[in-house]
Amino acid sequence: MQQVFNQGNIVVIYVIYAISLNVLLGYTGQFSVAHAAFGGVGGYVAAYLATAQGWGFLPALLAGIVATGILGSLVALPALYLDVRFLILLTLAVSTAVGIVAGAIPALGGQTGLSSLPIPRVFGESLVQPSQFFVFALIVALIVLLICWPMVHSPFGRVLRGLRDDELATRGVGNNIVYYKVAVFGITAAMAGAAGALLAFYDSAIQPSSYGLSYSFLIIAMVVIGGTGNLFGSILGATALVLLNPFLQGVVNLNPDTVQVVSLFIYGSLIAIFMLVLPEGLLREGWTLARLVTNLRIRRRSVYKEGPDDIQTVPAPANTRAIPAPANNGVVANTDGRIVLEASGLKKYFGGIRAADGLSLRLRSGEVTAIIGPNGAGKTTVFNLLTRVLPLDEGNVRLGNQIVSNWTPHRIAISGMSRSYQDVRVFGRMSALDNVMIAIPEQPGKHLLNVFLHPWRVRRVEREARERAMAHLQFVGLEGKAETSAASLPFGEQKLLALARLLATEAEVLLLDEPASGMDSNSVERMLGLIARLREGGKCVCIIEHNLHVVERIADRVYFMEAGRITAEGTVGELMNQERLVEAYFGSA
Amino acid sequence: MQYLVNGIINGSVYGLLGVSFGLVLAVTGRFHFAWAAAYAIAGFFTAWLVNHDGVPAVPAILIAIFAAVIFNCLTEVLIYRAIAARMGAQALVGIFVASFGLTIAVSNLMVWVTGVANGPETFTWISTRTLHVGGVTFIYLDVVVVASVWACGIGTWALLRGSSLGRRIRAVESNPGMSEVVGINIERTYLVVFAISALLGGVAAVLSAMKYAATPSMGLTPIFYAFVVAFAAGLGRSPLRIMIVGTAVGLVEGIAARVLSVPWQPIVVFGILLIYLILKAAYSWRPNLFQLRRRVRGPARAGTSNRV
Amino acid sequence: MGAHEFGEMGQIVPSMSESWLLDVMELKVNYGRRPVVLGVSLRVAPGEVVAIFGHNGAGKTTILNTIFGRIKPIGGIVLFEGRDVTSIACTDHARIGMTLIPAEHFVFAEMTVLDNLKLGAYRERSSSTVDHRIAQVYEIFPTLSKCTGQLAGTMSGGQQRMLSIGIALMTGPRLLLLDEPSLGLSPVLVEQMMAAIRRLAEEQSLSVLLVEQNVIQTLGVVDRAYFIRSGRVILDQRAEELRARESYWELF
Repeated sequence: MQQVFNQGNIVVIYVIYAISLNVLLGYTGQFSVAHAAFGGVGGYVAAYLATAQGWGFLPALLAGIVATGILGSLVALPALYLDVRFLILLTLAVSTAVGIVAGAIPALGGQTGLSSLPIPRVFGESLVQPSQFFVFALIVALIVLLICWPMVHSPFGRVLRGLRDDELATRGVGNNIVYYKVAVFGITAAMAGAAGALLAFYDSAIQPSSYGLSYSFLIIAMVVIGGTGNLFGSILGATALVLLNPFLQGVVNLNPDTVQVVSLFIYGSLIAIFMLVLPEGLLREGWTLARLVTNLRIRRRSVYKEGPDDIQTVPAPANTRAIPAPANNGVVANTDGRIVLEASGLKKYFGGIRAADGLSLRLRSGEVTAIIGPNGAGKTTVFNLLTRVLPLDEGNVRLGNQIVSNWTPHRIAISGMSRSYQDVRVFGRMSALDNVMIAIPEQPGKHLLNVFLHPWRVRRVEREARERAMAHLQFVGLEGKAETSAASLPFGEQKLLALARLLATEAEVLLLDEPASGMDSNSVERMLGLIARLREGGKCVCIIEHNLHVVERIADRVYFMEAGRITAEGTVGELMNQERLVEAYFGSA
Repeated sequence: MQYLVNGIINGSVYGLLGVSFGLVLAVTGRFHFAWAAAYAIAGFFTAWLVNHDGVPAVPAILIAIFAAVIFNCLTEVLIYRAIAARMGAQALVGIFVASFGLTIAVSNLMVWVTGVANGPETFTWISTRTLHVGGVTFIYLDVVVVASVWACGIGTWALLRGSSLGRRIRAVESNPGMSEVVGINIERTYLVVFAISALLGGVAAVLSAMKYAATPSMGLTPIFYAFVVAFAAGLGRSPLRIMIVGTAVGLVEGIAARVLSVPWQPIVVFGILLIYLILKAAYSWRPNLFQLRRRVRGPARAGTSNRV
Repeated sequence: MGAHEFGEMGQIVPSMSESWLLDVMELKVNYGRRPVVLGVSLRVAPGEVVAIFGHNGAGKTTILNTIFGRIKPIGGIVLFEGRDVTSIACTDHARIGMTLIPAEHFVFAEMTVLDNLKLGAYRERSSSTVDHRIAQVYEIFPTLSKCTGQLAGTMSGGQQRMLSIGIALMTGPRLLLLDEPSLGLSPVLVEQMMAAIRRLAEEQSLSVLLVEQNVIQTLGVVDRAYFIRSGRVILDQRAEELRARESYWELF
C-alpha cells in the first residue's frame, strides 16, 4: 500500500513541476529548460539549511522557495531582451551552471550531495511514512494549483497569453511586460523550488544529478504532451509520465535497470512525435471537463469554425454620420480641432540611413490625418518613433501637454496614444473578446496581488470590462464572433478586431497603419465608416495609407513624406496639384 | 606550460565541434540538438564494432561515420522538414524540442540494444604512448588528434571557399531567396550540410572514443562546447576562425585548470556562454552602448517595405 | 521587337507568326485566407518591355512572385513559351529561361562579385559559356569588372543593383522579372539603369516585366504598362498613350 503512496508522492511532486512550467511555457510562451535546475536550487537551499544550519523543515522549505523565486526573477532580466533561441541557451546555461555549482561547493557535498536529511516535521507530525508525506505534498500541490489557476484565468493571465501570442502588441496596448515577465519567472521558479525541496526531503538526500537537463526535459514533455495552455493537461501529463516507470516494471515486467532506459527512450520519442503531430498537446487550451459537457450538449454551435472569406454576414454600414460613437469611447465629443499630438524635429538614423530627418507634424482631435509618400520614405518608422517603440536620436513628441519622448511604449499607450499594425498582430490563440479585454485599462485584475487579495473587486471590474469590450466589438460589428479565436477570423475581420482592441485602450490619438490594405472593397467601406464615426466622436486619427483613393475619401488633412521629412501638407486635392509631389510619387521624367 | 598544451589539444577539438555544429545552424537555421546523437552514433558504434564484432578499425570507423551521416539526413527529411512545414514561425522551438527528444531516445535505444549492463567502450587503434617534449607531456594520439581536427577544419574551409559545392552552400547561407532564383535546390543543399556536419562531428567522436571512452550519451557534453564555440566565433564565420576560437576556448579552460579545482572547471565554458548571452541581452536593450562590427549586408532600408 | 499588331483597344497583340512569351491568365493568389490577387491577366511578347504599376499593397510583387513560382496561386495559369509552368518548382525557372530579381536582398552580400556572377550560372554546365557570359556582363557594366574581388555587400546600392542584373544575365534568360529595380537609387542612377535595361532588351532580345513605383521615368523605357489596384488590373495601355496622360493620381 505504501508503494502506491510512494508513486503518488513522485506524481504529486512532478505535478507541481508541470503545472508551474506550463504557466511559464504554455501560457506565457517563455521556453525554459532550467525548471528542474530551479528545483535543485530550492532543494539544495532547503537541504543545506536543514542539515548544516539546523533549520526546521518548514522554514527551510520556505527559504528554498524564496531563494529560488529570487533567482527566477533575476533570470527574467536578461530574458526580457533575448529571443526564443537565446532564451533556450540562457536557461540551458543556468541549468548547467546550477549543476556545476552544486557539485563544486564543498559545503553542498560535491557530486555525492547531501544525505541524511532530517525527517520532515510539520506541526509536530513526523512525515515518516509515504502516506503521511503524501498528504503534505498534496496540500502543497493544491496550494500551487490554487495559485496558478487564478493566475492564468484572470486578467493577469490574459496578459500572459498576450505575451505568448504577440509581445509587441501586448506592450502596445498598455501593458508593462517587465512586470509580467519578472513575476511569472519568479513565481514559477519558486514553485519549482518547492517541488525540488519536497523531492529532496522525500529522498532524504540530494545530489546534483537529480536536477539536470534530462529532468527539465521530462517536465517539458509532461507539459507538451498534456497540453500547453491547460493545467489539467499538465496533471495528466505528469501522472502519465511518472507512472510509466512502474508500469513498465510491473505490467511489462522489465527488470529495473532496463526500465529506466526504456522509459527514457519512450519519453524521448514521445516528445519528438508530439512535436511532429500534436504540438499543442493532448488537451487544448481552454478545454475543461465543463466545456466538454457543454460541447456535447450543444452540438450545433461550433466555436472554432472558420469564418467566411468576406464579411457578408453583417451588412456594411452606410457612410453615416448619424450614429454616435459609443459612450465608453471615453473622449468627450469635441471637434474643436485642438492639437493633441505634436512631433517636432524628429531624427532617427540607422547607420547611414535617415529614417527621420527633422520630421514635424501635428495631429488634431476630431480630424483624420493621413501620411502618404513614396515607399521607403519611412512612414511606419514615424509611428514607431511616436509610440517610442524606437528611441529618438533627436526631437520631441508632445502628447496633450506632456512631453512623452522618453516614456516607455506601454506608458504612452495608457496615456492616450496607441497604434495598430500593418501586419495586424492579433492574439491568435485568444478569442476576439479576450483580444479586446486585454486592452481595457485600469483593470485591478492585471496586478497579481489584487487577484488574490481582492477577488471580488477583480470579478466586478472584470464584468464591467467585459461589457465595455463587447461594446467595442459591437462598434466594429464583431459582437457575434466574440468567442471565436482570433486566428480563425478572416483577415478583414482581424483588422476590425485590431481596431476594436485599439479603441479599448481609450486612447485619444489613434495611429492606424494601413487600415485599408489587404481588404476587399466591402471591408474597406466598413473600415472607412468606422473611422468616420471615430472622427465624429472627437478622436484624433492618423493613418498611413498607400491607396490614394482611400485617402481622398477619409482624410481631412494629408502630410506628404519623403526621405524622412514632411515636405507638404494640405488636402488631397491641393497636394495632387503640386508638380513636385507628382514627381516625388511617380518619379520624374 | 603543460596546461597550455592541454588547452591547445582540447581546444582544437572544440574548434572542430564548433565548425560541425555551426555549419548546420548557420546554413539551415535549425538548432540541431540531435547532433549529439550523431556524434554518439559515430563514436560508440565504432568502438562497439571493433570490440564486439571484431571489425577492423578503419572499416568500423567508416561504417559508424556513415551511420551518423544517414542519421542526420533522415532526421532532416523525416522530422525537421515536417515540423517546419507544420509549425511555421514556431518551428524553431519545435525542432529544438523534437531534436532533444530524439537525442534522448536514440542514446537510450543504443543502451537498450547493446545491453544495459555494459559500461563505456574503450577502443584502441592509434598508439597512446606518452611523449615528452620540452617539459611537456602528451600522448602520440594527441598529435594525431590535433592534426586530424585541423585537417578537417582547414579542409572545410577550403571546400567552402574554393569548390562549387562550397559556393553553393555559402550562397544558401547568404541568401536563400537568390539561391532559388539561380536554381539552387535548397533542400538538397541542407542535406549536404547535414552530411558534412555528421562527418566532421564523427571524426571528433571517433578520436574522443580513442582518447577517452565511448558511451551512448557521449554527445551531451561536446554539444555544449560546440555551440559555445559556434556562437562565440559568430554564426556563419569562416571555419578557420571557428577553429581558432575553439582553440582559444580550450586555452582559457586549460589556464583555468591551474587555478580552479576539478569540480569547478566546467564553469569556464558555461561562464563564457552566460557572459555572451548577457552581453547580447544588454545590446538588445541599449544598442548605443556597443560598437560591434556589423556583418556585410545588402543596402539597408529605412521604412518597412510592404511588399504585396 | 517582333512583328506586332495593335488590337482594337490599342493593346499589342502578337501577329500570327508569334505567340506570347509570357501569358498569365486569371491569376488568383491568397495569403492564407486573404485574397491578394483577384484574377489578373497579363502578357509579355518576345522582346517587349512591360511595366506593372500600382500603389503599394496592390499586389504587384505578389504577381511577380507567383509567376516565378515562389507562391502557389489558387487559380489561374501561367504560360511561358506556350508551356504551362504554373506548378513547376521555383528553382526550375532559371533553367527554362525566366529569372526574377527581388526588390531587396538581391545579391549574395557575403560573397565576391565574381562569385555572385558564377552563382548566376549555377545551372550552366559548360564553363566556356560561363566565361563568355561573365565577359558580356563586364562589358555591359564596366564598373563591375573593376571590383571582381570585392564583397558584394560593401558596394553601393547602385552597384549592387547592377550586379543583380548581372547575376540575372548569367542565367541566360529570355524573360526577366524585375521587382522595383529603382528602389533606393538616386534619380541619376535610376535613369542609367533604365537605359541599360532598355538596351539589354533590344540587343539581347530579352523580354522584361518590371514592377515599379516610379511611373514617369519608367514610361520612358517600356513599351506598355499595366496598372494594378487592389489585386485587379485596371488599365493596360501602350506607353505612348500613357505618357500623354494628364495625371496618374486616379490610378493609385
